[in-house]
Amino acid sequence: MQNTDNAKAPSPLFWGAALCACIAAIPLVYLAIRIGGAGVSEILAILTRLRTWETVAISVGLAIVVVVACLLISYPTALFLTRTKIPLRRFWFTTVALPLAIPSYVAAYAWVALIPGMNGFWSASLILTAVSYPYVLLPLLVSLRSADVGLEHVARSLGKSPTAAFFATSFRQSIPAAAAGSLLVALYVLSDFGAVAILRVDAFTRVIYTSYRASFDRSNAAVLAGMLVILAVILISLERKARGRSLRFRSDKGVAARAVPKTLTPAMSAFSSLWFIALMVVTLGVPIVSLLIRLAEGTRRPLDWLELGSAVVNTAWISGVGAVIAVLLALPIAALSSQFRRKSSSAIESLSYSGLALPGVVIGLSLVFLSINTVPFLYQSFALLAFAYAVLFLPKSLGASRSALDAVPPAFGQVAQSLGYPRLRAWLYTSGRISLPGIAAGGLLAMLTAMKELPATLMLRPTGFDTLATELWSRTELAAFGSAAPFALALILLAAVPSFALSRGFLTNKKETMVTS
Amino acid sequence: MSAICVQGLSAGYGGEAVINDINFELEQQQLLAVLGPSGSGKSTLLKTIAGFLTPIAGSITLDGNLVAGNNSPVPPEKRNIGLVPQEGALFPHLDVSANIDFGIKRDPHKKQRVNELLEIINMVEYAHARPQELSGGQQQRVALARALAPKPKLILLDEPFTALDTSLRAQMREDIRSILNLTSTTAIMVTHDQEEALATADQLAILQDGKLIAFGTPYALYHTPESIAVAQLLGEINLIPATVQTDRSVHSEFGETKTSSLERLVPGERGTLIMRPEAFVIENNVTPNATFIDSLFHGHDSLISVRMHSGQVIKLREQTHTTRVPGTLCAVTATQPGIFIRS
Repeated sequence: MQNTDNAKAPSPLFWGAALCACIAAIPLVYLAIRIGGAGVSEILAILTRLRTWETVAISVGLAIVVVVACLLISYPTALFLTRTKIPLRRFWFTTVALPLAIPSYVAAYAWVALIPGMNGFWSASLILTAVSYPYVLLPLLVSLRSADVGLEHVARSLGKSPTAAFFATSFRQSIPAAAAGSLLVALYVLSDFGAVAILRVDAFTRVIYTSYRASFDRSNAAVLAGMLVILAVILISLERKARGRSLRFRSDKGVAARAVPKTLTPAMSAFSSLWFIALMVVTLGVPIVSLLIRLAEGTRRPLDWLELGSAVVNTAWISGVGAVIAVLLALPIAALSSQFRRKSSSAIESLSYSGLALPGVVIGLSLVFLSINTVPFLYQSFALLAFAYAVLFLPKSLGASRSALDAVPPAFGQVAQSLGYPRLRAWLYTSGRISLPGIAAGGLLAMLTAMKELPATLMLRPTGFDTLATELWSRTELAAFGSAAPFALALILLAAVPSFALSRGFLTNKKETMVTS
Repeated sequence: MSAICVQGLSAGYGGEAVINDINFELEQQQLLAVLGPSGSGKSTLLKTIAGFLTPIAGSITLDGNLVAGNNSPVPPEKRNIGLVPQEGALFPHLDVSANIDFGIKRDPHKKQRVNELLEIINMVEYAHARPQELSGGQQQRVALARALAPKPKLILLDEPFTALDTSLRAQMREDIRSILNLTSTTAIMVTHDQEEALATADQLAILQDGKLIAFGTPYALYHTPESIAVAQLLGEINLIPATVQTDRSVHSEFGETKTSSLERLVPGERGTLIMRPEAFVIENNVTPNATFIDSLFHGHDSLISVRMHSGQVIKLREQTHTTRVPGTLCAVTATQPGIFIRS
């Protein structure tokens, strides 16, 4: 039996999901209200300022440079890994994704600690490329790996050279994957606060933060935040399109022929090794060595274990609460949209993805405005920060819950119902129970990502409440590189967990075997 | 009392009817096969009977109790109807016994019932196996046992054999029939495979474009179909122009043949004679009236195409496989009555 396709959702579920989505949309809505409140003439004044367009140019320029650099790194790397017998292939396969584990501001801190004078546009490009290229590389690896070389063989049999055949088939099929990855990188660059702030690049996020801090010109911060959201929305919708296309190229029917890795000439072999070593030195080696140097230095002054310990506890506690709220908001929405595919339910779902288009600095700003103007007792409260995390990382939790629930055939719930279970219990005992691991994993992912969040934490944390990210930040601002190192290291260790899981999921590309087949 | 009685049933999605004005009644302990091409509304019918869809019009009565058709339809969990979805849909997080006792959690004798069912489906040694470790056929049997556990009034099977290899299907068909007989269960099975429907069912319902176009025993529907569409769905047919001769016979190019039509025939009426391939024989020592075209070997018989001298192409079955060169002359005669349909 098919899904309950056009059936109507039970109204408690529908309104519950709608309520959750509306809660998630509060920051976005309030930002719009705040911008509206600035008045047309002020908005126009800000929009006609040269400085505003400089910010746009810097942010967009940075995104373009980083995306191009990521593509230039990812294509050769992916080809070496999927099509050739390079030395240490398995080892490189697992290490190329690791730079994802380094938060941008940790990388920036590590580089600045090593080369103190480092700052500006090109430094930021280098560092953002080093931490974000796996977003392009991983989907590209999947695409090139799963590409049916049978098509290449057909092209060869029709008279094309190996290179021409590759470009005509597998390369073309990989374009949507690369495009989707590139757009993710662009989104990452636009939303990133830590690296541009440490390297003093006046991109959107830094300008928004400094105008907010300067506090005499908060309308400027709001309008810039609005522009940033618009850019992010454009990127997200383009990414959706690209991803949709990359899925269309995949067909699950029949057995796809796999490429046989080519043996390289000794010269090419040496070159490939050099390529991977250089890549790893720049993306992983430098930050880690720099951290270790600073750590060794820092120990000359005694490390305040209490401070580190309380930062770890605070970080885990606030992120955990945020993640639980995110899961609770996500569940009704996921349950609704996985069972009832209607226009109203997909509208609810899209609304709850608004966190994707809201960089941390924007959510921070909006919630600061909201709390000061309407609920002052929540300003700089634990609850508000947890809520910010929940909105920011709701998409992660929702995506995980949705795909876990989608993997459960609706027939399970129907069978349970026919065996005498009322609807809600039937759902809980089948779909709910079976997708529990996926939902929990989504929550964990949201928590681990929240642990690294910097700008929203800086803006919303209760006074005296420090997380690993804020401790690192305040020490970097004072150029206290040595005492910052333990916090940076702790952050890398924390961040390694989800990126490891993520890259494994990507590379093994295994489908959940939920359906008994 | 009939096990299920469906009257004037229309149902669909968003107010748009997919099935229209369905009427039938099924006796206790019978197996009904619902046959129809994809998109004919089979699954919609099943979902409506199970209670996942509320009818737009009409009623469903189970064992004398109205379950749908008034203002408060009985929800699926209260209908006591077992469901065997396509590919079984065993709960992947539970082992075989836990799957089977899912619907009888509160029954004090559930252990005994599970063992009884494991014996019926002949899988006692698999009590603690995981669904993933079972073959497709075994999964289907467990899904059937799970549905049977609460002793439902009716079992619904949604294309139970499609996921299986051809070699397994015949075996599964026998298994399911004997399990249903053993447990005296009434069942409705949806299928798009005519051979499966003919071989398995006590009663056959044929759906087309959301309408029930025939209902009866497989034998009756095969041999005395009410329309060309029904005849066509149940197997190969020949359509031959004919004219009514007397109230019991018609005339066609095969001479005067009896007809088993149920309707009263009026002499002189024109129409079409439906004849199955097995109604013809090829004879060699008679004056030829046809040219051999082609022969498809099926193992148990061959399906032969010939062109009559009138131009009409006839398909017929021949048990012996004779090698003929296309173009060879032969003689074809009709040996069984056909069904006359008015045009």
